[in-house]
Amino acid sequence: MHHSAWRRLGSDRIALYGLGIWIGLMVMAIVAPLLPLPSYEDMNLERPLSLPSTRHWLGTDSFGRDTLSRVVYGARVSMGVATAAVGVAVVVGTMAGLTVGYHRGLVDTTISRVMDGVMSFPPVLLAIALVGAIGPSARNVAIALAIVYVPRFTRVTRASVLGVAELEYVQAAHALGAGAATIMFGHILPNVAGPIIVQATASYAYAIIAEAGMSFLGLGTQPPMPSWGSMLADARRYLETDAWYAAIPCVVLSTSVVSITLVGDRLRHALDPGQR
Amino acid sequence: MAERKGAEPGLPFSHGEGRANCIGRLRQDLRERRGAWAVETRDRLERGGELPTVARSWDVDGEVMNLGRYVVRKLIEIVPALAVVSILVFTLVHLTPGDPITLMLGPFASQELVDATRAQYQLDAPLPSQYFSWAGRVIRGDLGRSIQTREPVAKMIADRLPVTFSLAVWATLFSCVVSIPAGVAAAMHAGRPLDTMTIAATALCLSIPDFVAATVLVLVGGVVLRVLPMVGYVPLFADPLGFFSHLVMPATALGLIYLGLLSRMVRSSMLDVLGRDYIRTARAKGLGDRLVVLTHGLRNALIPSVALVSLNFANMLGGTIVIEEIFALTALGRLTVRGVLTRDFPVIQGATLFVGFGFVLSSLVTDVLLGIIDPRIRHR
Repeated sequence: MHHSAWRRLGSDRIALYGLGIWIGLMVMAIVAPLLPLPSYEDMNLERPLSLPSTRHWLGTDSFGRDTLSRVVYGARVSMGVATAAVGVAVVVGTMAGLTVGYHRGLVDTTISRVMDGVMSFPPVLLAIALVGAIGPSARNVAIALAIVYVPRFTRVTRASVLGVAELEYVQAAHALGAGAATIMFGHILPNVAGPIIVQATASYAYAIIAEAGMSFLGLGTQPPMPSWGSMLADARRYLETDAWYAAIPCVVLSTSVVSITLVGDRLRHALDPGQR
Repeated sequence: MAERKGAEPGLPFSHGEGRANCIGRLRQDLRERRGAWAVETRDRLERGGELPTVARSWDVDGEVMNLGRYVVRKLIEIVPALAVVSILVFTLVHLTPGDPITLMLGPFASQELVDATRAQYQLDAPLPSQYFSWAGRVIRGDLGRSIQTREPVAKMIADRLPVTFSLAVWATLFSCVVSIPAGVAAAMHAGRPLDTMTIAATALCLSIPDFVAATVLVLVGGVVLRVLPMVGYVPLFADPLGFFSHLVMPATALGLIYLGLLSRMVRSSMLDVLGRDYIRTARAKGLGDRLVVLTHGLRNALIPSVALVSLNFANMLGGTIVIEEIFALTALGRLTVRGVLTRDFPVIQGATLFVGFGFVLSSLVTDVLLGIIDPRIRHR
């Protein structure tokens, strides 16, 4: 990662807006229990589907639960699952990619074949099948998504490592007697970090969509814990009478995913300004 | 090569430049690069003859692999891929904590029944031999029976294929019809407002989750305007109009993300192609802008997009789960979800395997298609 790339990103308004929203969501997810919000699971069956009021800023859902509070705790689930899944996938995938890209040989062929096999399945289908095997819950969604995303990072890392490993500074480090670990982590990793970060940002956005999609189907976050996906699934039943209720999860989901995608997009441009 | 003033970015000369002028510049190029291509082109141009079109100029060296041999090589290459996919699907079911027999028969089954079923499914055999007997059945087209309905899984998949395919075909058509013109237009206006707008629109397409798009469409088309049916599927031959009206909304919602991906791909490969020598040659020949872009440019720029389209298509076979759920389409994805919800392992296994194999096979079709369109690829 070059410093000029960070500078380009820092002067990019769109990227900064996106990053701002992303950080805002993270902060909201972390401090959710400290916010003066009504409980997300207290039902009030006398006031279902009420419009925004001073007591319930975003109104209430079909069980009379506070929508704002559910949105905030939904962010906690979304961000938590996406961060865990992408975090694990980045670490495992990058390590695997570095190792096989640097050492090559039979291990490389075998691992690459397995990774190609994993990538033969549409991500959501594979995640759903995995959750089917290990049971539906937010934690298992994170595990399944991590497994689904590992090959993407292995592939990106491996491809970049193949290009960098032949360069002179790597050869020089080798000639100076540096060990494989020093070369891989000290010399190669910093020079292949760019594509990995871009891939991580894109995967983060897709992980949010995937978590919401699976919760939408009832295979992700289980009640009473709210998820943006399950909120939308619930709201869809009242689409004809109370469309605003469906609008809230739609807007929240789209805004977060658009912001994160934009950050990734601009980041890719900042890292590789010549690319069109 | 120095760019002339007034030339479009990425293009070596302006539109109005005459033929003689261009020959002169090719000469200059020659001095700079001495490429065999430039010699040949100059000679042909000066003779007033035909220019080498790209498709014909590739096999100049006469070493393009025979298409038949290429297809055979690709066929051999997919065997390990199919094996890996089947091993993954097989392992998937064995990840499940607990005894599959207990899950299958319920906790109250008698010990004799449990033992009999265990022997029937050869679950007491070591894993590799279990895998091979399962793979043998799969090759014969036997995917087992659903625990819930006792129906053969292969038949359940076959029943749902027409819906899955119609949906995938429509979404693909929709995404191509919109994205190719959009991508070309953006590339031709690179850096200008139309381009910026297209990029922003594709970013939006890429990041609106499909089920959010579907919800909005249902709200607009089904609830507010009341023009389109909100759920369900009608076979094409039973009611053509009903077939289309039922698929418009799901195909649009599904196609959006692919529309975004494809527009970007078309735009960037078009930009790449427009900067190539053969485009300059075509312009040197005096061809009009539209002809150059549409025949010489687009044909070459679409090569990477062909790969993307067929990859997308393969993804749609199994990746449309949420859309199917929203529009109550009985397609493959819903079969998987029902399998997961009822812990019907033969169904999950069968459906996942089918989608995985579909992906591998469609990447084979892509490779062959690309080999036909672009003989250079056969070299690799």
